[in-house]
Amino acid sequence: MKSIKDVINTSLLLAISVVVAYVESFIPLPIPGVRLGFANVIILLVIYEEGFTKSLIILLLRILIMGFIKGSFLTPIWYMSLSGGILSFIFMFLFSKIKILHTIVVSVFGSLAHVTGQIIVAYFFVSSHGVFYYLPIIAITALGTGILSGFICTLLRKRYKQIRL
Amino acid sequence: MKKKVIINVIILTCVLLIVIGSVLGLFIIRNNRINNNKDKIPFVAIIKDNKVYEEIEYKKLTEKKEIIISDPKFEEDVVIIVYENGAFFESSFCPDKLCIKRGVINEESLFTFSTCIYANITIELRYR
Repeated sequence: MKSIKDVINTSLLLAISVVVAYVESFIPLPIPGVRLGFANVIILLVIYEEGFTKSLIILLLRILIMGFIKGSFLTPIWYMSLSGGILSFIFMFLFSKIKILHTIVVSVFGSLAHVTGQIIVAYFFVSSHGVFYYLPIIAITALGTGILSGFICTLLRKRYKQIRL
Repeated sequence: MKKKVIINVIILTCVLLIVIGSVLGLFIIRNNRINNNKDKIPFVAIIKDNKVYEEIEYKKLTEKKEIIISDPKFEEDVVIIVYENGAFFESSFCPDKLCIKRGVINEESLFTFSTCIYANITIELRYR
């Protein structure tokens, strides 16, 4: 954090990320347990525009705050959210370094990593390999939401320099 | 620029094909499961904290059986209904109710299990 502007900017991005995550949790989707994942648009945007540290701070604080808001802190669902978020972050950060990859492709890999991370943790809680059968179903929705998130992120990246403090 | 677009489209197409292939694989596994277990007797195992809580041959049931699972750590009881067509979660204290939304588990269902992660209770279809 170099200046007060940086702190305010990061705080605003965190606030937007939390609001988006909270609002989207109320959007009903036909497949149980599937969410749009638009909060990751902010993370992807920050990875590209602000770098590793700020995006990781925003991700971890968002998961922590959402855990308190939804009352799921330290429950299995919260651990699933944390593992999915971290795995998604690692994939998006690494793939964002490959210049030839478009934001949409990076977002898709992030979405797929997110659901994979969640399923892995669910397996440790349930101890049934059956949870892995659920992966293809949520992966196909993750693919769709990943493309949509990547598209929104591409649009935001074009205007980010103008709206940043 | 054009090369970059082509590479990205190829990657997305490959990912799409892999995902679609794995979804189709699920249906193939389901059909194989149905065909391979035609002569076997299906039953549901209710698993709590990774231990078998109860096993029920649901096809023998003539009326609905309500299984109420209590635990001091639960906010309220978890209720499972087993009837002649399978088993499902009737109610649970979990906030998202994913276990209830999963619906009935039987030989025809795509998945052979339904789990309430909060309560660590699983309904699993098995054969003997």
